[in-house]
Amino acid sequence: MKFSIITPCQSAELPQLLALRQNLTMQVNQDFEWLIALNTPLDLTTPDWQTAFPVHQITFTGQTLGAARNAAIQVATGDWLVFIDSDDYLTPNALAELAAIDPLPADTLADLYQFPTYEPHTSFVASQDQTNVPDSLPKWGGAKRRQPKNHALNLETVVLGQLTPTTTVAPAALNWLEHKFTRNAGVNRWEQFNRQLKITGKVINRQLVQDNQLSFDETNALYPDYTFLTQVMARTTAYVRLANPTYIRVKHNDPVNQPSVHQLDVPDRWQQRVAAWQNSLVAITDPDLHLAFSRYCLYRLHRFLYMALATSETVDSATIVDIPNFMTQLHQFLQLVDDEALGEISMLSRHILTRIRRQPVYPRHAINRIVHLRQLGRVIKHRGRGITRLAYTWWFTKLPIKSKTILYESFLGRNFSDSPKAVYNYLQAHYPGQFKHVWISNPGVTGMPKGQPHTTVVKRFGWRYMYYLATSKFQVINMRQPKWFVKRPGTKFLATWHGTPLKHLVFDMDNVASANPLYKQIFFQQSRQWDYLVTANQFSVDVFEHAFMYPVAKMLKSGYPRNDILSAPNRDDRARQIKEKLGIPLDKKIILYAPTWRDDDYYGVGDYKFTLKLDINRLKRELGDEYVLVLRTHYFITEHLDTTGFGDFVYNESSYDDIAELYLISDVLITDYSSVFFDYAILKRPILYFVYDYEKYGSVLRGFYLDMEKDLPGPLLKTNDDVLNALHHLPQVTQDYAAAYAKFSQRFNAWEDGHASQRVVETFFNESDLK
Amino acid sequence: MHILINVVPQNQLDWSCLTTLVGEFTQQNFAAATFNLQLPAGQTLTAAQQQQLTDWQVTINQHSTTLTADHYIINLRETDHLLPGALQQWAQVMAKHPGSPISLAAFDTSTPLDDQIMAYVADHQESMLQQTYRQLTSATIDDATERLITLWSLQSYSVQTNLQNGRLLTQRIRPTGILLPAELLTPTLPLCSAAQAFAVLRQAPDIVRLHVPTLQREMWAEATPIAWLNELEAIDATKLDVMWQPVYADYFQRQLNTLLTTAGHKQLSRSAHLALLARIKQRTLHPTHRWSRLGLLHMLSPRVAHQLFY
Repeated sequence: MKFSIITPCQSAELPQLLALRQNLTMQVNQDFEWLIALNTPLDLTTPDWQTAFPVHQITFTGQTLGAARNAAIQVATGDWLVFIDSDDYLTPNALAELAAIDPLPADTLADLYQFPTYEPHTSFVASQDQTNVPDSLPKWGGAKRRQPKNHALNLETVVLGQLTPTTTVAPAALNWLEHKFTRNAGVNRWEQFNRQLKITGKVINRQLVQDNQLSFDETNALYPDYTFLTQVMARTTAYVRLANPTYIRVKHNDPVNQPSVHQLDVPDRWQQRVAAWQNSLVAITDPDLHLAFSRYCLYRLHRFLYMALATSETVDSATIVDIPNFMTQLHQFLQLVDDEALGEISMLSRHILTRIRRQPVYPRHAINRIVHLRQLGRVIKHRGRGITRLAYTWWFTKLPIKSKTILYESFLGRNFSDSPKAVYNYLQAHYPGQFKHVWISNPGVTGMPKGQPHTTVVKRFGWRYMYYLATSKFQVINMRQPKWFVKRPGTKFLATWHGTPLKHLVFDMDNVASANPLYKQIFFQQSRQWDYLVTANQFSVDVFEHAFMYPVAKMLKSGYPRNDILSAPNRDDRARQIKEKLGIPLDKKIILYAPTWRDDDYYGVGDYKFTLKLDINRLKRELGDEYVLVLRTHYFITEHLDTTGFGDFVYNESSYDDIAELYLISDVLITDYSSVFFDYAILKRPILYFVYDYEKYGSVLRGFYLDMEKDLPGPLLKTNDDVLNALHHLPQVTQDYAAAYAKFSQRFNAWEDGHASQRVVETFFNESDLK
Repeated sequence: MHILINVVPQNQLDWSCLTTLVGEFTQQNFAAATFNLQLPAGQTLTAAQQQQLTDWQVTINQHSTTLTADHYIINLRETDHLLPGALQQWAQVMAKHPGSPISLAAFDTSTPLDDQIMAYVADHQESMLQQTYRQLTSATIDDATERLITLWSLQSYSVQTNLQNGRLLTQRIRPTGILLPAELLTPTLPLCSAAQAFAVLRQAPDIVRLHVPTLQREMWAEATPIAWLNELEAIDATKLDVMWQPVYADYFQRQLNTLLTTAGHKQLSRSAHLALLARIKQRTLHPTHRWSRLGLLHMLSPRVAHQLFY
């Protein structure tokens, strides 16, 4: 047996274990056994588990990863131990490439070459079905600058046949040309130290481990690997890494629900880390390795410890508890590190660590100073960018709170619209002069309520913005606040959100769809700062409960303030005024076309994003006497769209502030996968869905909360013929969908009675606030 | 995968160069490849030469009839050279990414090949791959074969999807030295042209770059500046879609600047240089960079510019 694959597993990880089994069956080299260290019973006799390679379950005493791996090592029979975690996977040639290395001496620490990603095995396999490229890898999930850009080309034997017969090349070199790897030995043995200290994807000679009785630390739940790996490193003369990545390490982007060991919220994480370093350093006798490991540890202290200490005193989820005890532990650890390594780190950092080394004290001021200097350094590096934020953190958040100031933000300052606008209008009308209103605006945005009584407009991220963000008692925001926002005691935050959810949100998104790996964690932390979340219907309440993990008790079941205008008694008069403002003839009916934005993923080459699939020429030809078309598209489409040829038939209102006003003037809505139809349905007017790319959009539709085939209040139309036909026969369409429309309205718009703003204001503000 | 090597002489066919190139091709022992000579119009071969081509199994002007969907075609000049193992390396990459065009790194013909290999190997001596290879071999880098193997040790490729990257267009739009998948060829465009390579690029989902040179070839802008200007002008920018138009316009201006630099190295006669300047001046209405050679030419007459640049 060439390899023994060791996979520690917990019962919650069984589904990913099955995915790994599937992955291992695809290995080109099947000369291995798979040892699963798992304490939950696993029935290996079922057909699913009948594989070409032997699979054994190993139970172990205790709960730690270290105990699991040690138990598996005890029963391994392969020449080489391969460490694979249950959520990770391998490329098909991983073991074959390693097996092909000849010679691979026993005193080698081998590495399958980790490739971090957020794409789990199942998603990657599904994407591979479409593009079957042998060297493809999942989407890179590490730091951008570290992404491997090139694939090393392993030459085939036939290329080597190009050499003249008289050429003599060492067999090992010839073998290497066909199976390339990198090798650190001799003077560069301890380069890439960080890579060498990661257990997953490592391949280690079993005899070497067993002869030297090397084992993982079973007492350290978080860092069991350091002691084992440093001892392996001490007993190996070379570090060999395959030239191309073959070990796919899946990172978790939901630390709230599915944290990896490194993401677990453990208050004594730093204590466990330093304890593991200490145990390892004590056992290292090789001076070079001792120096290299000292450097490794000191760099981590220098880079990460100070911020952790500085924030531990201010934030709720402290990463270091019992600082005095930790200082004692650190003091003992620092006695062990090499002086040479300590001398290499920067002066301020060295000063702090030397003080702790001398005495177990907590140099709070020095640590705060270094943290502040780093923050200032970042601002200087970015030539002043971020200075206002620094002022917010350092000074503005220390100023007294202004009890009569309300801060509003709609769509990150892009316009004066949505529910914050409705709340603002309501307060201005019913509580005039009671509050100071501050609106956040991006530079160049028009239509902001500048000049309105008691109203100030501030530039987003400017000095005044930071001042009001820190000192306003009330914040009314329809998206998310900045992640560095500090929720000060005594302030109240109203999250109005901006629509009934159609596409999966936050915690309902899978690992891949979430672009920012920290998105879920950041969203979770941000939403904990919301005092109230406005909801439009019971459906939204149910979705937000799991998608935002937000407590139902803190949701306002009020309907959307922004939709009050659609149920207002004077809505016809308002509609006429808006039409006049836009210059639309009063005798013309209006078709509102609001397609969603499609990005590159759903388009083939040459099929560009700004192509409008609705045949406007034909619409004009057939309906121009009776209708005009109002376009509401993404700004990118708008910029590339030339509507001059359509005369007074097309009105491009893509940059119009308030879409609710466009709803009000229109007689029929054409949309597709955009959530605009939830609000539009309040008007009880016909809705058509022009879904020309419905089949192509299939993978996206799977991420919708609604069943597009069953739940909609209007027809799905795939061609321009269908759209024209529906527009010509609107009464018939209305009649056909009357029942579906009623059901839809009941489900989504039951709370929209035109008084949502009142309900929100009366709940959010105390009576004393409104006096 | 089958490779068609289409040799397109620039002017008069240099028979001795062709003999060398065919020799390099034959030495590759690569079965899945054919060799075609696209003879310039009006040029004829002697009977002996024709017989020689038959013996070498080189076809004449038959490229279009032999191409099928799984073919790749590469245009070369007869003055270009193939490095040992080139075709096998190409074939390996083709097998991994069938249907993608492959852009090839190349050495220049103006400097001796061995010097260039030596410099390349020296430039990459910090590479972990080369360092590992050196650990495994006892041979020294002084030996020519050893240098070639070291070159192989560094070989790598990348799959690039940033097709509209302006800076990389230089290595992606060339009449010669790019492996073009036959299924992406546009029949109405000349097979050996920048327009053809550009059309392939616009249709391709990605492009593969083979990073270590497998060819030695002439730079069009340096060796034949007027022909290169003709090639660039043959691309009708007005017919490009809006996403590509600004990309090509920018590329075109940068190439004109390159031409102004390289054409001034006195490879052209005075009259040819003046004519080139006049043509370039006529083509450029709004130079992007005012203080570039192109910007200066825009402000000056071709004659004054000739005095300055030549």
